[in-house]
Amino acid sequence: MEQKDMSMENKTLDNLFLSVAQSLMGEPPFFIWPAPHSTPAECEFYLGNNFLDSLYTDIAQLQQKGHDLEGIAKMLKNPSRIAQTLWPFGHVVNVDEKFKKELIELASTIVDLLSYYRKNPFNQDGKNTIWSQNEVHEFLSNNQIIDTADESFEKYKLLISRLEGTLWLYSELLDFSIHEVCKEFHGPYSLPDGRIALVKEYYDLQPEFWAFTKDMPYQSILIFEIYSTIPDITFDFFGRLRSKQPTIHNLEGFTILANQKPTLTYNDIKEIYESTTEVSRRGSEQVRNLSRLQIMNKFVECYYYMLKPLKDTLGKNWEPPEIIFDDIKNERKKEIIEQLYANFEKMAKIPPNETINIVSKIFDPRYR
Amino acid sequence: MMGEKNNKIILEGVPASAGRAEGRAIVILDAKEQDDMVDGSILIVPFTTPLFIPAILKSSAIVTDKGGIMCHAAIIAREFGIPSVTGTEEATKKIKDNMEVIVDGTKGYVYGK
Repeated sequence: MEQKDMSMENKTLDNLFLSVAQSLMGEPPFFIWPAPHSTPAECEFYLGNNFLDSLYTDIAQLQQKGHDLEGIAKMLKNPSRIAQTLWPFGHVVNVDEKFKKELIELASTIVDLLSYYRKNPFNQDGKNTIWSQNEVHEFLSNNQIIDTADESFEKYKLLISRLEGTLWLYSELLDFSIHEVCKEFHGPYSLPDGRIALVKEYYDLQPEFWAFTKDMPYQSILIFEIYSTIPDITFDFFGRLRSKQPTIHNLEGFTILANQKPTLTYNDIKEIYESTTEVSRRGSEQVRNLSRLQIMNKFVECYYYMLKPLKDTLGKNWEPPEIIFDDIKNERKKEIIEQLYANFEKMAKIPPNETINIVSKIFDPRYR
Repeated sequence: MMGEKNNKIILEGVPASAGRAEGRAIVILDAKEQDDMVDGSILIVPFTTPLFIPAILKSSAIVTDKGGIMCHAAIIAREFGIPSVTGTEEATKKIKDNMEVIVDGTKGYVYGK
């Protein structure tokens, strides 16, 4: 991996981990899927060291084979997926000097990867800007928009709201708390007529580590939305869209691509909604019957599946090492996890600005 | 406390997703018990996860014990465009199955009819 002058990188890493910490302020982890079986943090303690070491090694090996960072960023497909690789930084243990150095380098490299997509790699302006204005205009030119001029628009709007809710639930069923792995919401973008656009992309909707996804007819779905005004929205570092009000009520136009093909009739969109609903319902019923151990194992698989494009290029198997599943089964990090939960309880009583500083240092390998 | 048209406010929580819905409440404590959920019902749960997908798909509003403005139920309700009141602490205790309720996601109140 490229050696950098760390004095120049320190400000970048300060910004990175501050952005991570700011994005984490909000809901406590006890009610985040895979809760109530486990929490994301608990699973991340089991996979953290190995996952980050694997990512570091894969990137280094790809570079040795002549792949540049832009190519690696494209393999990972979308910036919010790249941002998800920061989660395990807060859940590594027994960090020796060598691993610490690797983590610092890796954090810096992740910022470089994000910069190929995002104008502001940390989304500090509250936007998630990925397309250029030219790309937005090109999309508009090449795709038909259904808008309020259509007499059935209110009917479409209701269907779109159902579809978006269902897709959101489906993505979370697939990818747990890191469901930005399979979706990228981005914008807002200014349009030539003064209105604004949001883009909601879903991809990798048929991951092989879940059997029920073979019934999902769509690998990708893109919804392009147009508004005159939308309620106050922001994007955080992880690409999560934050709003305090539903945006769908203000929708004035849209278009949908399913498997990259335009889908514009009401019945075609209804077909997407019904298929997604049916697969989600069946998937949820299957997952409900899994044990705590099985669900935690799936969470681990979901993380490593993120690296599959890198592994495929290197000719490696993407599957997680057995030791992780064995550690989970034998609860080998039980004491650390109990301490983690005790710390969460303590931090809930600390003022937010102090908590942000504490959390920033927890994730920052320079403080290990 | 009396509220909307003299209906009694039975719960107060976080106004997580704007809007208003009224209907029959279905209280679900365990994701394995979703069979009673019918279209248009008001879903009352401790908190939501993807295991509640079948019930969520049928609900016209969501009320939870736990969570705030950015919890799972709040985000889902806003994606669906349905009202939600979260963080009530005792929705699953105070509301009984089949109780007729009104959910005001704009103000953060649940009324009993």
